[in-house]
Amino acid sequence: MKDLIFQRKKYFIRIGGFLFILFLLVAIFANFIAPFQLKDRFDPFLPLGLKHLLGTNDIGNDLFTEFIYGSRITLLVGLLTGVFSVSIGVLIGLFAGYHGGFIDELLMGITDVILMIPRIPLIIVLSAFLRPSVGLMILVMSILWWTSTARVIRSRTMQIRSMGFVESARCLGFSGWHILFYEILPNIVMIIIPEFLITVASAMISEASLSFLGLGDPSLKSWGMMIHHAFQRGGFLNGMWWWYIPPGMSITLFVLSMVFLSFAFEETEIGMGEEVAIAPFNR
Amino acid sequence: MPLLTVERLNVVFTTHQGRVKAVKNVSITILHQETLALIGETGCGKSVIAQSILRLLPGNAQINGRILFQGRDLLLVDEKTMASIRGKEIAIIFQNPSLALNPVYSIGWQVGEPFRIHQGVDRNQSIQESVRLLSYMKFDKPESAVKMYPFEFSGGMNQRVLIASALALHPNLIIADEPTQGLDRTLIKQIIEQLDRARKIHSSSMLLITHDLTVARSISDWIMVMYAGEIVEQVPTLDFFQSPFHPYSQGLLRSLPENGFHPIPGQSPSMIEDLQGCQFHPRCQWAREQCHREKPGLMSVNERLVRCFLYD
Amino acid sequence: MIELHKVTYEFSQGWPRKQHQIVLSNISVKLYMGKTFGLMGHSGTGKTTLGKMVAGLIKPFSGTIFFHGKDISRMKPPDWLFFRRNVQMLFQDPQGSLNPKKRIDASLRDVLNITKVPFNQQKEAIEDVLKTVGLSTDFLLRYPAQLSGGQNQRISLARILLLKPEFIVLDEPTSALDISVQAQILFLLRELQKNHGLGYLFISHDPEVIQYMSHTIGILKNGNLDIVPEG
Repeated sequence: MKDLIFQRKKYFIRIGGFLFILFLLVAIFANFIAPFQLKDRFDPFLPLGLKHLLGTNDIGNDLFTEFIYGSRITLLVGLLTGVFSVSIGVLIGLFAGYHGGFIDELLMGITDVILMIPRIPLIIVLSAFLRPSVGLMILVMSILWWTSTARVIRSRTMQIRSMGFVESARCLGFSGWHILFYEILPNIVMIIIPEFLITVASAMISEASLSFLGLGDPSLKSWGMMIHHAFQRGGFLNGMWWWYIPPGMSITLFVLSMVFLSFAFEETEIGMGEEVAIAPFNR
Repeated sequence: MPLLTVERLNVVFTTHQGRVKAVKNVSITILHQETLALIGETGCGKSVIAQSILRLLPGNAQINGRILFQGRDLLLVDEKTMASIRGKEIAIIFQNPSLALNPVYSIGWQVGEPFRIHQGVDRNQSIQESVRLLSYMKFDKPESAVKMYPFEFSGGMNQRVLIASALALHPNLIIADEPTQGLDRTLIKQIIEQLDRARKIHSSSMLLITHDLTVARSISDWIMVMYAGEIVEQVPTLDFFQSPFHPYSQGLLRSLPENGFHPIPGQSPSMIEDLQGCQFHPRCQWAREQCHREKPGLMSVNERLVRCFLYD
Repeated sequence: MIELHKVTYEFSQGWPRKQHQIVLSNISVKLYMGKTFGLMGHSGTGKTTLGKMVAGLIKPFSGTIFFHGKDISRMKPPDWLFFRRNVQMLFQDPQGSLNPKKRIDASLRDVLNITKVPFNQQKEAIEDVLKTVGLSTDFLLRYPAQLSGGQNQRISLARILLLKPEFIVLDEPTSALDISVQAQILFLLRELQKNHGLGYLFISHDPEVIQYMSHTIGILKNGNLDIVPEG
């Protein structure tokens, strides 16, 4: 299986890219793609059909419309969390890795403390005390999800810092800030992007899990919420698989597309973009 | 019959920047119990020749020509046969000993590897063979050495370990690719002596690839000079150092510390673009009009071959 | 002139009890502009450490380093900046000195930007320095991985020369290069010294190279520096 991926890496990356962009476009142009409005009501519990591609739910809303609009919320939560938490993680990792010593100890100490906080339970507890909302979820996840990114960036920064060109830069008189952002950062971009993709995947799955448990934002129909409603309002009992399978599969597919995309960012050595494969002899 | 005959070998790499012609029409002959030193700058194509013989080139390489080892064309055999030849009949010693050894396996385990793979010997026996080999290479206390790990040894000792391992199965041909790179003076002398001694004990031939002329001088019978993918001179070692014929060879000798560090002006040509005329002419003090227009072939002068119009 | 006065460096490692290793003890030596001081010694004896201290990259454990009579550890910004520009270091690994993700012209321009050379003068400055080190302008559009060891070393030297330094610490500058390329780089270094009055601290394990390049030779042994008498 590893060999299969290795030799056909190109195709996996293309499939991943295609799916990723497809989902993104669906989320952005949801208004144009969805056949009806979220609030429109028709006959309830309709099965798959030409007019209602995914049938209707218990109060008659078109499920295909819900499915299309659901992409917006789910992707939004995932991508925003990704952006915020990776930003925090990169900054902390860069500073810890570059300065070392006390700053490193301090930042890593903070990281350890954050790591100790149980993520999902905290969100559950906060949702119970405050009103559950998407904003709250994004906020809490951004504050908790940056730890692994910080560690990875820190170790890579420490690795790069010991490389000759950083020392040369110090010698030539470049300031610490310049070195961090213009010499070291370009060399860790290849790691930041996969970290981003992993964080987005994790955030999306967490949101879906929480929504499924009923702790998500009830006013916004994310895919997770859709599945929750499916189970809560009789979709599962009535065997209406078209209610909960599509959103579930979509989450899986989107995460998979990001995994495939991350293959494009594998680097064997700093500075090399391609792997040199020792292939069997061919004339 | 010669042990190794490379006939008109051409290797081209396809890269983003274009087609890199790494080896251009190179022919080499090595007889039994003979050492040939292949000399040239880094990037002139000498390592590519070694990799071609061992069939270890990356996927973007196109090879043309014949490589006859004991009568068989190595470019035509299948991978399974090739794997049985590597390590057993043709031994390889690479440049960076610390990188070639796996840090998580003991020395004894790695030196014993050829025995386990090619002779199907069991673990304990292979370790015993390792002890025998290491004492051969004049390691003191080989029994404790086999239990140690590469990081506990210096670069020089690791290289000796690699040499021991490479020669374990009495190969007919030893290919040593820059075995002394990065080591300091005393260590180089030691390694070369051991390499030569081991070669004599096994009656093997050796293809020694190096840019260090002193190393080439001490143990080779023949010298082949490569420049930008081509052979420019082929000559018995003693004759080379007494009177080098090709202007590049002369330049190399003048660069030596004992001759005053005189540099050759200019740079090696790109392997992607084709230079009109002789590849060396921009840097040659005797370049004539002819050299700008035509490419010299390898000309025979007494026992030598020289690629230069001066000897036409 | 750079002067080292009773410079010591210790290296401590290990846990729980730290083991101290004295790398350099009581080194006192004067390094002059326009002349080369050759530093020899076996690997790991502290030659690089000494070089980095002269270049101001490492602080000595004890002792002082003076630059034109001023203590570098006590220098205030304007003096420190002057020192930083004028004392440079060329490292051993040719590919290691340049940012692998930066094009050569970008690496060179960076240096000109910190010395606040105006943009319209930069092109000329770069062309001049490339000519000095013997490279054509073709190299500007390439990346370090596309250059050979000797070419990379020349670019690193070019970057240093853009700062117009007085003194360069050269840490095994030719050890990783072929014999013929080594001859070219050594020749270039000597020419630069002749034309610009540069001072060098030349570190190498190769006795012949040291002999060829140095006016004064020092051997580092067991943390002590022995200066070889002239003649």
